[in-house]
Amino acid sequence: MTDLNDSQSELSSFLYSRRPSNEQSSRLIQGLKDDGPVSPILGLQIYRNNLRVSLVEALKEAYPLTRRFLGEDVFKEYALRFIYEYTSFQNDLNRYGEGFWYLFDKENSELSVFLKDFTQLEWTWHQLDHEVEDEILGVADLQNLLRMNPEKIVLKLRSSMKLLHLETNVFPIFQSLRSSCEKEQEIQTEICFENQALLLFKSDGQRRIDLVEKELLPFLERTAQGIHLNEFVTHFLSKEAGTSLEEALYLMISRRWLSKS
Amino acid sequence: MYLGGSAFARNPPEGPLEQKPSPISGAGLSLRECHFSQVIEKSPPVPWFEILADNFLNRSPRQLRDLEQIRSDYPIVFHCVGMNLGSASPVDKSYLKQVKVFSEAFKPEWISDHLCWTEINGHFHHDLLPLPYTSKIISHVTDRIKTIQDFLGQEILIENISSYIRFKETEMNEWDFFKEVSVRSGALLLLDINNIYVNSVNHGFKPEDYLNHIPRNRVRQMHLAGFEKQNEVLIDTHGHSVAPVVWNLYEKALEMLGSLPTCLERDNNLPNFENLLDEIKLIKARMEIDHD
Repeated sequence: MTDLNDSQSELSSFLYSRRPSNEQSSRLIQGLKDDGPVSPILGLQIYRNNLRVSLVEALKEAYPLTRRFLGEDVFKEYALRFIYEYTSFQNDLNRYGEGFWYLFDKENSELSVFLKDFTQLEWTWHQLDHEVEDEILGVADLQNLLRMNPEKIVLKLRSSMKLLHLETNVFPIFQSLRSSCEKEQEIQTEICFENQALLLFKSDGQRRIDLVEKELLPFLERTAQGIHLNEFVTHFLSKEAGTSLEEALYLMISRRWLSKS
Repeated sequence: MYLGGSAFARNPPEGPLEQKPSPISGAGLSLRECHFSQVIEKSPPVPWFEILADNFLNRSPRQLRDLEQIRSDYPIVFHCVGMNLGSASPVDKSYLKQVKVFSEAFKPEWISDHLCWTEINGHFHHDLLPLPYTSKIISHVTDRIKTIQDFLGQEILIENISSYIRFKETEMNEWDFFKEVSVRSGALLLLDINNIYVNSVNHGFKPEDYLNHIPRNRVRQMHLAGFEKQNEVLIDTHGHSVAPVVWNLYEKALEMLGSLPTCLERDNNLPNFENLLDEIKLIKARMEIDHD
């Protein structure tokens, strides 16, 4: 139905415009009745307000720590910029807000670099709540693995695992703000960002952050897709000189990094 | 028994619709997740709950355990927002598949959604946007509902929404549009009494006229909620108790339509759980008056 598509697209475009043009508003209003208690302008404003409130609230839910860091007014200004640049593309509001850090790309300051990293970390941390947890490859599976033909073994990282390499050391502030906002157990790790990257994943219902050397990231990015054991041996052991295959596998298994599936 | 949405809609019976006995009766509650633990711990005397299905479609089995516990103790219905019944976009079968899988796991007595549109060209508005009441839109929406019902394998309930704009191209009253979509698609009606009242004030009609034109045999459930008054406009916020004027309208609806299962909705400005239970008692008291 072209007419319906046109009229719905027009209203959608109006609702998602931060400052609709007079022409846009007039075209819409011309198609609406104006013989009742609610004028078309007021009616349209109600829908614009509903959309704005829904999306800003979703961003507040997705970035509570960023909100505390920036303060209410500054956060709301960034939120309004975001909602009018990045429309919601899915039904689930819990998934709205990815890419908030792109706002800081356009700014050119040390703070914007920090905020870009901070919001990426917060978003990834927040989304872990929605991840479905797969079964871990456990120590009990290790012996079975070592008996198999190495060429047939495919290792995969946990399906919830996300790899982040950040430019700034956001973690102390992240931890500090988290401790006042969240009831989860303290993340048991120290962060040194000089040459390390983050692995964020879910295990036993808890969100976790682990550290790896940045130079391991390309290998880990491939392990996320599945990597044969021989390749694992070649890449991983070359980085961890003096480590046996069994030790290397045990290291990854004990950290609960590997998926059984 | 579901005969297939298309087949059922071609020959809608004029008399009472055949309805299988249902555990959904009396005054229920639209249950928010923040109240799950109280329901599990205290087993409140609520005969059934309405679950906002879209909030749970992407959850892991671990995250659904509380809902499983509630389901084992109470009958439930699903209330969706994502079917996008009136959109010009194609029917979202991936969404319907999620609803179907969720429904097969949790076995709600029925599934409902709103007679509106929520998405176009991939842009979601997280709001219930209105449709013009025209014969062309009736045909369009009817086809979509039939497709959805065929996919889900059951009739759905469609709910009337509150609206803040009206289209010049509209050819008929809202209640005639609502009724006609129901009859032609086979979908049954979820009558939101608060929305009728809100629209009657905002668009200038008598709410009793709406009730007078709704066929009794097509209504399966009712909703009650609160509104907010901003200047002279009523906004359907679901953030207040049911207003006295809406209680009056509800009593008239009970006289005209019978004591149908009625769900209290409260989404915002949530009071404590006991306050909600008190409001449910008010629904129950009105339902127990002999209306037949």
